[in-house]
Amino acid sequence: MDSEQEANQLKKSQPKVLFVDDEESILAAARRLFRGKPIEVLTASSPHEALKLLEKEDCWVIISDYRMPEMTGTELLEQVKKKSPQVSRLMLTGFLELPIVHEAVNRASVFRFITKPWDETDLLLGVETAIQHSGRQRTNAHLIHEISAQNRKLEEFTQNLETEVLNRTQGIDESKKMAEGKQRLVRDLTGFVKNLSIVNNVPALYEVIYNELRKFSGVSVPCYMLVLDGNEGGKLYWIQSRTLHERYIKSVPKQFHSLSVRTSSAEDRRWWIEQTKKECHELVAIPVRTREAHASMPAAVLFAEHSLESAQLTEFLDRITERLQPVSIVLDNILLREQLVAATRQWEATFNGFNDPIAVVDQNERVIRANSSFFKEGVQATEPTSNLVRSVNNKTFRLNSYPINNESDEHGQVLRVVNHYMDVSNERELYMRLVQSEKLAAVGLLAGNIAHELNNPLSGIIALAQILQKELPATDPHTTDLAETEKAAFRCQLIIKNLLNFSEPSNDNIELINVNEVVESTMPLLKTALRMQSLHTYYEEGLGTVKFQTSQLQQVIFNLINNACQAMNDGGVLTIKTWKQGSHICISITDTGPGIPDEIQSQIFEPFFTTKGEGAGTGLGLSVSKNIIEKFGGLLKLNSTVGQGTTFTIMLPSGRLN
Amino acid sequence: MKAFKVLVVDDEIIVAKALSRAFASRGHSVAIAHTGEEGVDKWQEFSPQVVLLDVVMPGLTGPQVIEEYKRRSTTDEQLSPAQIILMTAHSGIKGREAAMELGAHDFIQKPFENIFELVERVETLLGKAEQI
Repeated sequence: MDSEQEANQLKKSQPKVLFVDDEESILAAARRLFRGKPIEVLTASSPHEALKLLEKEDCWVIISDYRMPEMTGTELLEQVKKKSPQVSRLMLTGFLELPIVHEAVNRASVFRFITKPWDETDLLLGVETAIQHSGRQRTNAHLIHEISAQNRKLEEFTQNLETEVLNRTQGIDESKKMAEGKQRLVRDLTGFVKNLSIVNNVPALYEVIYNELRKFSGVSVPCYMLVLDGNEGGKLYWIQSRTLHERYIKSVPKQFHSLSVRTSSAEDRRWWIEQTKKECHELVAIPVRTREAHASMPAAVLFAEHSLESAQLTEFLDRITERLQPVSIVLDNILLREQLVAATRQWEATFNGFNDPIAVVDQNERVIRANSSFFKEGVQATEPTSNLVRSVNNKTFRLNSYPINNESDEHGQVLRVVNHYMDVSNERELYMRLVQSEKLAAVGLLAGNIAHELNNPLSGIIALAQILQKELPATDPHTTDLAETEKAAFRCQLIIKNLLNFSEPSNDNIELINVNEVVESTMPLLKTALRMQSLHTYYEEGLGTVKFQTSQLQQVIFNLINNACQAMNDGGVLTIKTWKQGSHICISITDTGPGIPDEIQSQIFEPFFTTKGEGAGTGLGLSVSKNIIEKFGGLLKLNSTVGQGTTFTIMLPSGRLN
Repeated sequence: MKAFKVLVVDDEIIVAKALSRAFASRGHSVAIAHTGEEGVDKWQEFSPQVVLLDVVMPGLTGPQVIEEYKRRSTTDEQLSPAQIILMTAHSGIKGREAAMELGAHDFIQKPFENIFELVERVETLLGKAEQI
């Protein structure tokens, strides 16, 4: 019964008093007594009836007899106390036995005892008091009930509030978590991008990606990275035992050129196992696109071995994908930079690889860029007056200038020019030598002609001198003069003869010739050259002959003696010896000149090699001499000490015509 | 030894003079010509028995003179038969060959070593020729 109803009932109805006695007369008496009183009397003849009634009726007071057949009053009131404690409990008893009283009070908390037969006033008072007591109890109970109800309500409310707060808190927590989560993600991403920004090579890039994806569990090896080379192959990067490994793969299966994420097929896994020697359960290939709009394949592919369920896999892929753009940018930059560096190096290597000096100059002839050869040769960069330019180490270069046409200023003037220097030193030298040797050849011819011309009048002079000598008497003093004239003319003839021998190309045959004679016959030709030197000659007698061509041997000896004289500019000693050594006949020509340094000793027999200035020597002498001697089975040896002098030795096999 | 007529054809005056005096001192008569043409004319005039012919001369060369001699031999202007000796710069076998080729009978190498030896040689040559 709720509080309201109870309140109404209290107002409306009279309090109910229940009499319980097995004696009907008592019950009647009770009824009679309370007739007219504001009390409703209920009766029950047995405890069970009483209990039943109590279930239905709301009694204030119960008065029960003690001695009843089913149970004692105490037992009944005990039960009433238990069931309906708000019912005041009185006991009717014939005699007040203390144990009974004790028991009743203890067990049933009996309120009052009324003796039988009762005193009506006593009974009325008792009931009234009991009613009041009950009323108080009821009020208390009601209040308690109300309070309880209110408490309950409060409790409920509090609980609800708590739940609300909890919910709200949870809600806040969740959003906080979400916010934190988002923040964390943003921080992660920012951190990732920051790490990326300091990367400047592919292995470092791979490490950053690897470390980032390692944070995701469920993926056994965060990832491998395959950087494609744009053709068939690529370079695979992976981390094992904490070290970065890389390997070049010559032929990457075409399916990995795909621009979309690809989960592995059996074929893919087979290839993977082949490449990495590792089993994998599942493999996913994630392309890293290049920023080039029309690329047909990605710049790189990330491979992840995993055993993720599809939901987790999606999350994983999401995580990777949101990081792909910065990765793509960084990878692009790295690859671009690598290409640039490679291209620059290649260009520089090419530029510096030219043997010829090359310089790029501006309108003011200032060098903007030059290759290493340019600096090595020390070419003059100033405006040349001819197109032949001298260099620091005395080489001659021909300068060719090429305008760079696609860069002109507003007046159409070319801004830069490429200067290409061609080394023509050899060319020029060669040219000079050629000219010289041509001159010599011409002179040779000329000499031949002149010689012939000279012979004529000389014959006449000799003949006439001879005739005059015959015609004059022997005592005539003119005869001696004439004799001198004849001798002088003869000497001229000899010189001419030798000159002709020398200048005529191999007119004579190979014959057995006498070395001493040949040497002696050459000497007159060198009288001028020898004029400053002292000459010592040691010709061994009875040397026999050598198989040679006179003119050629003369040419060799002439050349060697001439060189010797030229080496000793201001006087010195020229020594010529001939001797026999075993089966060879030797001729040596020694000068006291400056000598020939070791490092050029082998070079001096090379054609065109000369230490004399431009046009002074042809550099042909020694190489030709050596050739001639070797042609006849001989040797030309050189012995020289710097500061002391030089000796050339000709060794010829002594000859016998076959 | 018989005296004979010698024609010396050489554009070098001193050579011609020397030769002339050498031969003259041996009793031969000598005519001199300084050019090929003059030589041919003198040949006709002088009818020498020996002609000493220089090779290189302005105008007609020595060989050309020989040719003219040969050409004329079949005509009325024929020149007197003579020992033609070419004075050449070539020596030895080559000299002889060259001389023969050009139609001469012999050669003398220039330059002369000894003028008198030369004269004797010519005399010997002519002597031999006469005997034939």
